[in-house]
Parts: sequence; structure tokens; C-alpha cells
Amino acid sequence: MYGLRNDIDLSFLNARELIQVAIGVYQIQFGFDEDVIIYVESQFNYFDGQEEWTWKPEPGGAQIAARTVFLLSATIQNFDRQENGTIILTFSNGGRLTILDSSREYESYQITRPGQTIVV
Amino acid sequence: MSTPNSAYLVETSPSTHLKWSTFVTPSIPVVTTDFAPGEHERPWPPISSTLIYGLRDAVLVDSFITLEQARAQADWIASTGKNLTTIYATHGHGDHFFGATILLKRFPKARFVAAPSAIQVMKEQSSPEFVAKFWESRFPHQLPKHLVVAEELRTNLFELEGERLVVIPLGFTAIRERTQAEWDDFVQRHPEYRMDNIIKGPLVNLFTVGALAAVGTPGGDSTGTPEEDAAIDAGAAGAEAGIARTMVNEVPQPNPNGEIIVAPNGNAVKIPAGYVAEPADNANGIVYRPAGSTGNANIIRVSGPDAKNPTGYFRIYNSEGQPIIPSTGKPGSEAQTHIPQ
Repeated sequence: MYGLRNDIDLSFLNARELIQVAIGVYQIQFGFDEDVIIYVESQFNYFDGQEEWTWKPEPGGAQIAARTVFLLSATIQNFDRQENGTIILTFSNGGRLTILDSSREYESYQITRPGQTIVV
Repeated sequence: MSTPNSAYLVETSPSTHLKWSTFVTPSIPVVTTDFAPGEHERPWPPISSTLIYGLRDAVLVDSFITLEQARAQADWIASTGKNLTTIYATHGHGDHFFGATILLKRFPKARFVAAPSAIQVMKEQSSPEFVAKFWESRFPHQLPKHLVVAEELRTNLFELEGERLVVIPLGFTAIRERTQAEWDDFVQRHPEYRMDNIIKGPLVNLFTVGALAAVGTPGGDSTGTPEEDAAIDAGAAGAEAGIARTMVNEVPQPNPNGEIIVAPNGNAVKIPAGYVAEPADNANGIVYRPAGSTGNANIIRVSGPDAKNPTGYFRIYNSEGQPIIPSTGKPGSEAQTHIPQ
């Protein structure tokens, strides 16, 4: 809902290795090394190299989220950010996560690392 | 810290030997034909109670509605092996005191107490006419037969194994018991409790309540009487009144012993002992977290008013980093876990 300010440095995402995917009914957590975690509550698109899937906190979402375990052990090779709050993470194995700030009323996602909590 | 998705939460504070646990009843069906559009059932929401206990004695905050709920609660208390000395009702609605009748049979040495304003409501709620019309019709053959009303609590203090538990009248319960004007007047005279003041920081001379000062919070009926407001002053004075807040990264730090902050609309949140505060980036807000922790596990995040949220909101997270519904302790949807201020 907040978009993503340009002055927020996300370079710490570079080369982070995905080490955990936690699937909840209302939230998906992507845990990386260096204690970086992305908590998604609104929407992400997952591209597995051939097909793209959309997760939202709705029935069937967990099955889509489960596909992202393909990204485990992969590292973020590249990330793109947009002022509307969208971040696009491209992984070393060809997978891609597009995390959207799609909620108009509520928080869409948070990124945390030691000493910093980014709320989008 | 608390266990996610559990009916039993246990917390301790390093500043006292007392501990507390909460017991949450499951939602139960209500007999009614008054359904929301598209709904075919109308559950009564879960109800929580708190047992504050020391080495041998315990104080219970709130009981439940039905016989079955009361028996389960009594079994839970008995399983702790503690001597129940007091049952305190935070307010006078039947779903917070009907079960006391059963508990008193099981624990006959316990006193059942409540604030005068709560007792007035209890008398109305337990009158035969009201019980028949409202409660018995919703929960037929499930209620205790002879409903006991609490004794009047004449002070705002409980003693439990030599430690003081202070009743904090927050001015709201399950429903607002003050008028808006009364509440406005209250927070004007006690700005230290206001979340928006904390968010704006720096806030000095903010008085705090001790880790266990808030018996029954959120709750505690208040009619805004001078006596009750005096009780707040007394409670605050007894709990390190006037301490200056430490500032870290321009964020006012919470009392190391824990504290309760109250939003302008009456919603309250407890910052546990040992928490530190840091700014939330990108959005306007403060993250309260266990010292040394990272991520969202066990945090409380308070977001101040901004263009998107004119009133601000807060969110409470479980140990798995999931935002929860405060009344149930379970993870919930965005709408359920953004608590407006």
C-alpha cells in the first residue's frame, strides 16, 4: 500500500541464497541467508522458467506457493524495483519472483534484515 | 514467549516472580435465526481468560458463559495445582462472568470481585428477564442455574503473594462503555497513554505501568469516574512514574519492564518486558521486538496515521512471524490483523 521509496537501499538482496520457504494460509515467507526474510501477504507471481503462477491468500494459494521450493538454494542474481512497490527477484536457477504492492488498504509485504524492517 | 496457535500462553517477566497463562475457549454456536447475509451459522467468538500465579496462589481474570466452558476452565486451573484466591471480572457482560458460579463451587475459598461499574452491568445481565431473553435463548440449557454476581472491589489493587496487581481502567471493554466525549477527556488528561504521542516521539515523562499492573487488560470497565481516574494516577505513580524514555535512533524505547499503550480509539496493546523499539522503514511506524531478535517473530508494529491510514493501526505477530488476530491469537487475514487506532 505504501509503494517503495527510491532512497531505500535494497542492495543487500544481491547474492542472497534462499534457504527457507514457509507457507501459511495468509502469508508466505521467503527466508534468505544473512537473516533476510521477505513476508508476502498480498500477491506474488512465480515464474519457474516456463510458466508463471500467481499466489494470493486465497484457496489454492498454498499449492502455488509450494512450487517456489524450486528456488531453494538458488541465489538472487538480479533484482529490479519499481516505485509502485513491485520488486522482481531473478534467481540463479532461472526462477523469478515478482512481488507486488497490490493491496490498496493493507500492507502487501515486508522485508526484514537485522536492524531494518521495510514495510510496503 | 507465547506459543502460536495454542489455547495456553505462558509469559513471565524478569521483574517479578509471578507468571501468567491464558486460556482461550473455542468458538461455540449460537442458537439464532438472525444470520448475516449468506451465513447459516452465527458462532460466539472465542473468549480468553488469564491466570496470574505465583508459587502457590493464583488470580483468575474473567470466566466464560456455559457450564461446559466453566468446567473446562476449572479443570485447567486445577491442573496448575495453584490455590485460586480471587476471580476478577473485567466487565459485566455475561460472557465474562456467568462461569464464575461454577468456578466458585470448585474453588470455594476464592473471592469473586469486580469494579462497581461492572457489578451494575452484571446485575442487569443476570436478571431473570435478561437471561431468558438474551442468554438462555442463545445458549439453551447450557447456563448455570443460579448466577452469582461479584463483590464490589473497593480499591484498584490485588495482592498476590506480596506483589501488587493494579486494575487499570482503560475506558473500554467488549464495547465502548464511555462516551466518545468521556474518552476524549480521559486521553486529554492522560496523553501518556496515547499511541500517536508515542509514534510522534520523543516523549519524555511518560509514565508506564509495571509488567503485571494490567490485570484484565484490555478490559476493566470504567465509567470515567474521578475515583477510577485517580486509580490510574495511583497505579502509574506506583510504577515508576515520570521516568524519561531512552531514545535510540530517534525512537523512544519502551519501559524495560513492559508497558501498555492505548490508541485514541481505546484499542490497547501490551509491549512485553525486554522489548526494544526501532523505526519501520518506508512506512511510518515503530517496530517493538524482543531485544536482539530479527525478522517479524514476536514483534508488535505500531503504524502512525498517514495518508493511507488516517487513524493508523497496529499489528501483533506470533513466534512464526505471522500477524495474528489479537482476540484469538491465531493468524488472520490482512483485514483481521490490521488493528485500527
